[in-house]
Amino acid sequence: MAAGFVAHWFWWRWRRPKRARAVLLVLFPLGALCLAPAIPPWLAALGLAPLGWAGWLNVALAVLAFTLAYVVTYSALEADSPTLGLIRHLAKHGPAGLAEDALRGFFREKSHVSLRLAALAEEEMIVEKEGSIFLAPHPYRLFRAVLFYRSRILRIGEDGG
Amino acid sequence: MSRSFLELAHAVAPLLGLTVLCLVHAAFCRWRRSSEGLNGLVWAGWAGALALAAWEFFLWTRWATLPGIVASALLVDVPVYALLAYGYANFFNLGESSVRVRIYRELVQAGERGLDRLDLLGRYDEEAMFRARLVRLVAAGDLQETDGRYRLGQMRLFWIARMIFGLQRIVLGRPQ
Repeated sequence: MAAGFVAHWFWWRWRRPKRARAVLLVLFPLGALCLAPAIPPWLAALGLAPLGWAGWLNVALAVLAFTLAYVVTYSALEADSPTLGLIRHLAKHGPAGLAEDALRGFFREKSHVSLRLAALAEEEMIVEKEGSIFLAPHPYRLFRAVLFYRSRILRIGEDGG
Repeated sequence: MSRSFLELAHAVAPLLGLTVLCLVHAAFCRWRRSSEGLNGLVWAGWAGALALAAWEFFLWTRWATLPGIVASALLVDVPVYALLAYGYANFFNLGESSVRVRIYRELVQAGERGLDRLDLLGRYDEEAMFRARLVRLVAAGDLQETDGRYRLGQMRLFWIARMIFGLQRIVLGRPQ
């Protein structure tokens, strides 16, 4: 995990890939796979029993869980969350808190929608032609999965935004 | 029960916790006909953790030694379950408050015609976005309102915000 994270850090500092989430989904498991041969000698050096198939399954599950958790976190990392921004701004004011107008003023300092449109265009998920916006050819797996899960499994309305 | 089955049951224990979490959360949302923000997730998260603990207890009675099961639970099963639960919570929250998911939905509904940029921006009333967040945060107990002033209520989102902004600084090199 640590190796994957270090590779991710260097790569992103050098140049952020356009399909960042897809790259991350491959990067972490690949890093784990590369370092997996080091686990048996490391366990032996510590005087521990070698891993059986169930142990390896545990390791694979841990890598998968970390990767998925990080990829969904990354979505929040990439785009400044308006909700978390509000929380952080309010935290700076401590127990005194803020009046609604002051909070509104902070929230409206940025056009959140324009920022999101710019981010989607940068990721080549939307295209803009003559003032109109269209979906670009892209699988949109994450967005589709989110909407499917909400409507079909949870059966809740179209909140969002 | 064979040893292989018990080993498999042990290896997938965090997945069992996640399954219970998803089922309880879906039942909660369907029953209340709304997500009610984070509260339903918190209950579902505890239900999953309880199921995981019950499963570990079952494995201990059938197969494992007490130190072995405690060590594996603390070192592997609980952290992996926590990661899976965290991933699920974020996945759910993308549909709850993500502007990008809503833009995607609007563009899917518009089809090949696309959407006029100004029309799209007009659909997003920033005041409505602000109000929606305020209502959601107060209802979930994350904000408290007294005499027209807002303060932090529960600290869970504060810690999430700290982590996210900290990671932003480390990974993306974004100034705070």
